Formats: sequence, C-alpha cells, structure tokens
Amino acid sequence: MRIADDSGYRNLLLDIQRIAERMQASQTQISSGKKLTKPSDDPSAAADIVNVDSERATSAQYLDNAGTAISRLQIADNALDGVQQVIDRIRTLALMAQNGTSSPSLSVEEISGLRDQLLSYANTEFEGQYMFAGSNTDSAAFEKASNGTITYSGNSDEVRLQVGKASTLQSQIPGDQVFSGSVDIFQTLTDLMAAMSSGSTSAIQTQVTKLEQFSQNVSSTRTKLGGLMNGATAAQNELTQADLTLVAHLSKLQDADLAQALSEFTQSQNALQAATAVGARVGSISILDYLK
Amino acid sequence: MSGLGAALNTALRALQANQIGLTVVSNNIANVNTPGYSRQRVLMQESPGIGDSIRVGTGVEVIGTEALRDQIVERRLWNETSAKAGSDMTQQSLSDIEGLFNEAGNTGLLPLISNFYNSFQHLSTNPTSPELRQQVVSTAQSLTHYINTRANDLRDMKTATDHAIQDDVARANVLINQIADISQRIQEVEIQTPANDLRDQRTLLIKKLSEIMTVREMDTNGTYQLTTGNNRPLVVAGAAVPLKIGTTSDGMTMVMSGTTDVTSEITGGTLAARVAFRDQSIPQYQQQLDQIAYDMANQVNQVHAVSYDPDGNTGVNFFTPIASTEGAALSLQLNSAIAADPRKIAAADQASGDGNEAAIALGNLVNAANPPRGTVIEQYRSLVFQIGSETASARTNSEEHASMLTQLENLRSSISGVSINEETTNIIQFQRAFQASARIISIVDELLQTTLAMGTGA
Repeated sequence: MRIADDSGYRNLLLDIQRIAERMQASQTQISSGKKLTKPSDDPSAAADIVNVDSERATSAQYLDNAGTAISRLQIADNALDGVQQVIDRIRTLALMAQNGTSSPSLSVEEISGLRDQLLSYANTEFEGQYMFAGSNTDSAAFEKASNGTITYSGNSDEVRLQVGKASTLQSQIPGDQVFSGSVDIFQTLTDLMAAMSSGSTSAIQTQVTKLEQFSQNVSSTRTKLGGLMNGATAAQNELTQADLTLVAHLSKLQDADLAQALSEFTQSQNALQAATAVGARVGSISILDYLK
Repeated sequence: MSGLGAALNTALRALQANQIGLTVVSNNIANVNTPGYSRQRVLMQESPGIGDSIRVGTGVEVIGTEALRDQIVERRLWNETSAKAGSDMTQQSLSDIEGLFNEAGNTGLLPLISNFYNSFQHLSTNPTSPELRQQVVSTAQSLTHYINTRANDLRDMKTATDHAIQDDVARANVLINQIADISQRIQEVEIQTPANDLRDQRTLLIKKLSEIMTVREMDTNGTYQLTTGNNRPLVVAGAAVPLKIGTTSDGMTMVMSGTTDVTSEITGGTLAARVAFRDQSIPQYQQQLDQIAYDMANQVNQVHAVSYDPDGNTGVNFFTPIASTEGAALSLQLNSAIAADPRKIAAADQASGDGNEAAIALGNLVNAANPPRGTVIEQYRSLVFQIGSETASARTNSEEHASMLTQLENLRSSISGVSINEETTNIIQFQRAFQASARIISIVDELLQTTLAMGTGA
C-alpha cells in the first residue's frame, strides 16, 4: 500500500491516545484503590455492589437492634435479680413472724418499704421506656393508687425487634407475666402484711406459699431472659460473621489489585515511551536528507 | 519536415510541460497538511507527429491535471464518520446518565434508600421517641429530595438534547447550503475543466455533514444529488433543500423534510444519536426511576394507612399518594401532615397506638417484592446494571469506530494523500527533464549559430 505522510501521524495519534487512556485507567485504580469507579467499569459487579451495600446497611440496623435487645434483656434481668433479693428478705421476715421471733409492726413496716422497692423494680426504665409495660412503654407499668393498691397499667404485648431478614427477637417481657401473673405480688404483700398484723400463722403460711410460687416465676422468667439473650447474641454473631463475608465479597468486587494495576501502569508507560520515541521519528527519514 | 526549428519547439513544449509538472508538485507539497486535499498530478500526452515519409513526434503536451480520489472510499469514509460521531455522542450522553446513578464512594441513591427503611427499624425500638420519629421524617425527605433531583436531571437532559437537535439541524442546513453552492459552481467550472479544488471542498463539507447524519451522494451524468440515508433530498441539481424543524404534540422538536416528519428515519451522526437518546434512553431511565418511586410510595402507604399513630389515628398516607407511574419520581413527596408533625407516623398495628409492629413492617418493606417486579433495591440494581452495560458497550462501540475510521482515513490517504518523498522524486524527474530540454535549446542554439556562421566565411 502506498503510504502518505499523514497516515503515520494519524496512527501514532490513535495509538498514543489509546495507551494514555489505559495509563489513566490504571492510574485511577492505583490512586483510588478501586477497580470500579463507575458502573460501566464492570456493570455486573456494580449491580452486585448495590445488593451487597444494601444488605450490609440493613444488617447493620439488625445488629443495632440485637444490641438494643441484649441491653434491654440485661436491664430486665438485673431488675429481676433485685426482685429476688427483695422477695428473699420478705420471706425471711414472714418466717420470722410465723415463728414469733420478730416484732410484727416493725416487719410490716419493712415489708411496706420493700413493696415500694418492688414497685420501682417493676417500673424499671431504660432510655425513657418502661421495660415491664408491654408495648405501652411511655407510661409506668404499675401505678399505685391513693389507697395503696398497685395495678398493672401496661399491656400484654411481647415487644419484638427485627434482627434478621425473617427473624424477630423478643426484647421485653410484659409486667403482667411477672409481677401480676399467676401470683399478684403486690396483692400478696398486702395480704401478707394483713396476716402478719393479725398474727395468724396459717394466713401467713398461705402468703408464704404464694411468695415461693412468685419466686419460682421470677426464676423461670430469668431463665427465659437468659435464653433470649443467648438468641440475641447468636443473632449478633451471625450478623457480624455475615458482614465479614460481605466485606470480603465487596472487596473482591471493587478493590483494585494494586500489584496488577501497577504492572499495567508500567506496561502502558513503556508502551507510551516507545510510541512517542517512534513518533519523534515519523517523517524524519526523507529523501530530502539525501539531496543537496 | 523536421528541422532545428522543430527541435526547438519540441524542447520549448517540454520546458512548459515540466514547468507545469513542477507547479503541480509544488501545489501538492503546499497542501500536504490540508484536510480533504486530494493530491493531483499533471496529465501529459505526446503531441501528434508530423512529416510524411519520416514522421517525427512534436514533443509533449499537457492536457490537464487530475485529482487522485476514489469516490467509493470517500463515501465509505463519510459513513464511518457518521458512525463514529454517532457512537461518540451516544457514549458521552450515556456517561452523563451514568454519573447520575454512580454508587461508587458511598454516595448516591442506595444509602438513602437503606437509611430510609432502617429509620423505621430504628423507630421500632422506641416507637414514641420524638427523635426517632424526626429521624424517619429526615431520612424520608433526603430520599424524596434525591429522587426528585435525579428525575429533574433526566428531564433537563431531555430538554438540553432537544435543543441540541435543533442546533444540529441548523448546522446541517448551513452545510447543505454550502454544498449546494459549491455543486452549482462545480457544474459551471466543469464545462471547461475538472474542478479539483471545488470537489475537495465539497467532499470535506459532506464529511462535516456526515458527522451530523448519514448522507448519500449520487453524481451521475452531470446531475448531482445529495440525500439523507433514507433518500430525502438535501441538495438537488445544485439547489439546497434544507431540513425543517417542527414541534410534536408533546412539545418535542421534530426534523422535517418538506412536510414529512423524518425524525425517526435519520440514521448515523450526532443527530440520530441525540434523537435516540431523547426518545429511547432517557425515557427508559425515567420510567425505571418512576417505577421505583411509585412502588416505594405505594408499598409504604399501603402499610402506613392501615396502621396507627400513638394517639390512635389511622388512615394517613406516609407519602402523598401517586396516581400513575409516569412522573412519579418528580412528584414523590412526604405527606406534609407528617412532615409537620412526626407524631403522625404510624408505628403500631393496634388501635391503641401502642406497639412497634407497623414500624417493623415498614422497615421490612426493603425486602418486599412488588410483583411482577422485584424489591425497590432489586429494581435499582437492574437500573445500575443497565446504565453500566449500555455505557460500557457504547464505549467499546466508539473505540471500534475510531479504529475503523482511522483505517479508512489511511486508505484514503494511500490514494489521495500527499507523500513528500514521492513529490520530491517527482521534482527530480521534472527538474531533470526541464534541464535536459533547456540543454537541447542551448545545443540547437549552438547549431543555429554554426549554421549562420557558415555564410560569413569565418
């Protein structure tokens, strides 16, 4: 083929542009650390990243929720631990009263104080929410009327939080399952105080039996709380583990292979050097050089 | 009869002919870098011989100059120019859309969608918290604002492309008029002699026009015709037939030939690329974004409207209801009643207003499909995939056309391009011939002097 002068320059220009583009691409990879800076760099990877990013964002919220659940269950468990100690003390006082080894009026006074302490446990708050009020968390779970009667004002909802795409976890136990369930502890204490005041050992015994039943209820509730906490911790571990897998996948999708990018950069740099060196010689050999 | 006089004449003609040859070479060298220039060469032929018994040639005569041009290659070059300009334009336009939906660097629509649904899950942990309710409002507003902005961007792109179509037609018409003028002049000049320079100019103008759209040339028996790729006249017998601009019923520009709407039949070049971008690409992405906005608003409203706020109110839409998919992304708005009073967010599924089940259900919508379509995230995923792969293939396309164009331009150069080495060789050729002819003149002069001196007896 006959070669005209402009062909050489035209080819050179196209080649240099191509090499410069490649060089810029690897340069961007090196400086950004990413092989994917726009969807067209790798459309299917870009689409996968949308999925992974979305899954990670949702999981982060689930992880948050699991954490919240654990805190709440822990708070409830602490409160019930306090409740058990109070009940133990009341039981001791009741037994002493039965044996006649204590002053009934002093014991009744102490139990009355302990009843208020139980009320405050039943109205445990966490981040402004009453933990034993069911889903009616913004008002006190138990209210004390002017005549001293204590009634449940929450509801029976077992509040749950989402901790996975298809899994929820109970984060609260309503107070009517603990404090006013099969044994209404506040009523029991009122009755106990009455029995102690009257000095009837059989009446005291009736209430002591209820106390023991209540204590067992609290115990089994704490076992349940423990189970729920284990479940929340397991959910947390699972989410954390899944996130690690997603991060690894994400890195595969978008992170540049620095070694490869550097070698590509060097390659195109060499190619550019060669092309420009040749370019400088395009048209430098001419018949004119040999004519005088 | 052949004598010294004849030799002198022959030499003189040779001098003249080679001088013309040198002028042509000089013109070629001068135009080595002129775009569209086709190298020329001088056409010489031998003059008729004279004499009866001894017939001797009378030298050389120049019958004209010729431009070396292969019209087939020129036409292929025009077509490839159209293809290249069109694919460049498509790539550039799609890159603009790609920029709107770039998720790299944790910016973009996706984090806003995630934040929005997560804000409901967060609300479920404390449904009466004013802060968490305000957070739902803020994330919803960021999301609607972002979607509105992207929808606006697409609409602006469409308008800008429409204006560019008008500009393209205007530029095409200027070229069409120039081509008609030149064709007229070519016709006038070529009654006598080939109009090499005018043809070069016309070829170059058509190449420029090809960047706007594919054209076809017919140049037979002195009638010259230039048409669109679909045979709509642009230049007929030296007269321009400019394209016209009309307006469609929905306010878009249409390209017209006479009274016919030819918008969709234009092929190649920036014009066809812009029309396709305006009428196909942009509407397609608008539609996808609209669908996302529509599905999201409907899904959320459906759950929200049957749920209860802490005061036991129900029947409130979370987003302002959207009647149809078209324009949904532009009109997506948080219900102003909720924006004004976040307590109206319905987080409970019981009439008492207690509980977090509705908040959980709203948060879980992030994973809920919209049969027959997928989830909002899946829809967005396919949008990102589509813009990515369309842009990538437009880029490949444009690179391929760049190579093919270069190849064709090299092919054209091999026919019409100037080679300095070749021209230099021609110079030597003409120079030597000139020198030899001059030598003959001086020898004939000597011979004549000798002849004249014979009479003087010197």
